[in-house]
Amino acid sequence: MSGISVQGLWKAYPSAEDRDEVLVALEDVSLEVGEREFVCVLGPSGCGKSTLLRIAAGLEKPSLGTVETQSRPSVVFQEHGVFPWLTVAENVAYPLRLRRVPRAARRERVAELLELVGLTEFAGYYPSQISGGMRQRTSVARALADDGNVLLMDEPFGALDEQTRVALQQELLRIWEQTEKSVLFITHSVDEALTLADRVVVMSHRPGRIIAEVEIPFGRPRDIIELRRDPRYGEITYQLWNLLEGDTAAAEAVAQ
Amino acid sequence: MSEITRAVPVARPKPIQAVPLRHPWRNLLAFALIFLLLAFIIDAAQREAYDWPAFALYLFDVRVIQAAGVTLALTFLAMIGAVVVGIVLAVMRETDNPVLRAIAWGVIWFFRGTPVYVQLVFWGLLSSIYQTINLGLPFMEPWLVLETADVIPLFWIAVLGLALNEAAYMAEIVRAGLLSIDPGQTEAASALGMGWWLTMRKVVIPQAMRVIIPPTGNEVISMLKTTSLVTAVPFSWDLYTRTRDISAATLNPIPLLLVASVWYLFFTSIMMIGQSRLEKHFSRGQLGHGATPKRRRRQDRADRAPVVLASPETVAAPSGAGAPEGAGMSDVAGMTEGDAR
Ligand SMILES: Nc1ncnc2c1ncn2[C@@H]1O[C@H](COP(=O)(O)OP(=O)(O)OP(=O)(O)O)[C@@H](O)[C@H]1O
Ligand SMILES: [Mg+2]
Repeated sequence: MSGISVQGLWKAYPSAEDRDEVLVALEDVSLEVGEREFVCVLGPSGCGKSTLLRIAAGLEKPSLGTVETQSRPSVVFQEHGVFPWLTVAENVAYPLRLRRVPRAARRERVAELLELVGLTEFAGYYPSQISGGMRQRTSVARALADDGNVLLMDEPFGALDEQTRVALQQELLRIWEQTEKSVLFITHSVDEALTLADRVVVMSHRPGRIIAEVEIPFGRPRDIIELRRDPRYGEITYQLWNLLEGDTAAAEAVAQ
Repeated sequence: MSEITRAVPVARPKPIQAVPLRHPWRNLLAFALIFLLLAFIIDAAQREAYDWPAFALYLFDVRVIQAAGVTLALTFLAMIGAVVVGIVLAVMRETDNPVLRAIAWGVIWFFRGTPVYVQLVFWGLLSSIYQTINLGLPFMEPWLVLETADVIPLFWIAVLGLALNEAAYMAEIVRAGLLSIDPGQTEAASALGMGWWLTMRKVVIPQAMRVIIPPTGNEVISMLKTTSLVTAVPFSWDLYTRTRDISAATLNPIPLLLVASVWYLFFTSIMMIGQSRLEKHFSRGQLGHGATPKRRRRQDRADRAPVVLASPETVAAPSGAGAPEGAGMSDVAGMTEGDAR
């Protein structure tokens, strides 16, 4: 059984302008995330990436089609969704509390995760007291604490500076390599997609359709910085850019 | 390799010379006000009309204390009713059912649009408008006929009248609370696998409370004072009406008015303290929005800090400005019961 299976997914929203019109956000999207596979969805803003993730998370109903996940997914939202009345540490501890993890174990795990995302010093801060990037990291730590087999991430490192982003990408890969997670990772960054993924799913501008799937040949474990010296890195970057720009011919020329 | 140019050392900031501002006119005004206040107190203490011995006599009169109890009972029962009906109205206004929405809108419109005194008179006349309460199926011979005046005592009519009027205001308060919750929060909760009721209990209600509690506290205080209108029902065992009745017999209304005022002030003061505690409790994690004075003071200290932090060592030390003290890992367990900061 695969981690996530999306079959013939359509999603339409009522148009805000015209009562009789609908806005098609997703058009016949099918994709498969294998067990322990890391798949990135790459696409321009507004192409329906978040919509796809929200449907996969069971927060929205598809207009047509089906989504199956191996287990309840852990989600990192684009707008982080941290609880403002809980401190950073309490936010991360929340999924553990829900699972009734004993206090000592909980404390240990939270400390570990905070260390991981570099928020140890801010354990006692409330979300309103930390930066947007720190909130995102809190949200990532919380999703990791949730510890499902399926991880859905919606541009989790979008608000971070380059350096922190690379550090967290590296950590995410490390965690993922150690665990059994199937990951669907959403991004609009070509770099991020090819750095992290086993396979990149490229989506077109609205209505969101899948226009290509690109296998990323880099082995595991990956060193994100070293990866950039690999000659294939430039090739794949070029290919993905062309796909995004809709120039399939140029992209295929590279693939030869 | 590109070259790195040398960083220029930053000059130390000069310590700020603070000279306190002088406010001669403000001081003069303060003295004048203190003088006037003292003059008023000394005069009032001697004035016959206040009749302080009578005031002392009646302040703890059994009838007065009982009446104070009745006023409290009216306040809390009416508020409980108002909250319950208010929640129902708020939920009705947010449903998809247009009939329910229209009814809720109409009820709120009516009760907010007429004076509470007039409403209380109306409720008092209930037993003459509907002289009997008929139990049974509509358009059939009733099984049981009750005299309205017998089965609904005036006390409960007063509670009913106060509660329904207040419910219209509570509905708006509750509605504002429900609408204040970011849908992202409930989604995050459901993504964590929390069910509807658990999400309500742990996410929606506590957060809505933060918005609902402070104005509700005001409403309780206002309700306490509004109970003095129940004489319109006419119900005459509340604090104000009772003291007025006592003074009608003794012909000295002023000391009894003072007695009533002191009792009202006593209750409202306690309520205000309680309310500010509650507000603090519910403003947790809301620095910058509902910043408490203590937090603001700490913020001020942090704002001044750069003046002090002239040497690099002190800059490097984490200042922890604005961090809730002791809210580290040890707090995780007590996160729901954690107290106000
Ligand atoms: N609840 C909604 N009601 C109406 N339209 C919606 C709703 N949610 C999303 N849409 C529309 O669906 C389209 C896709 O939105 P979505 O949030 O999935 O984009 P995205 O790919 O995540 O973009 P970004 O990279 O900017 O986050 C947009 O045109 C948006 O207007
Ligand atoms: Mg999005």
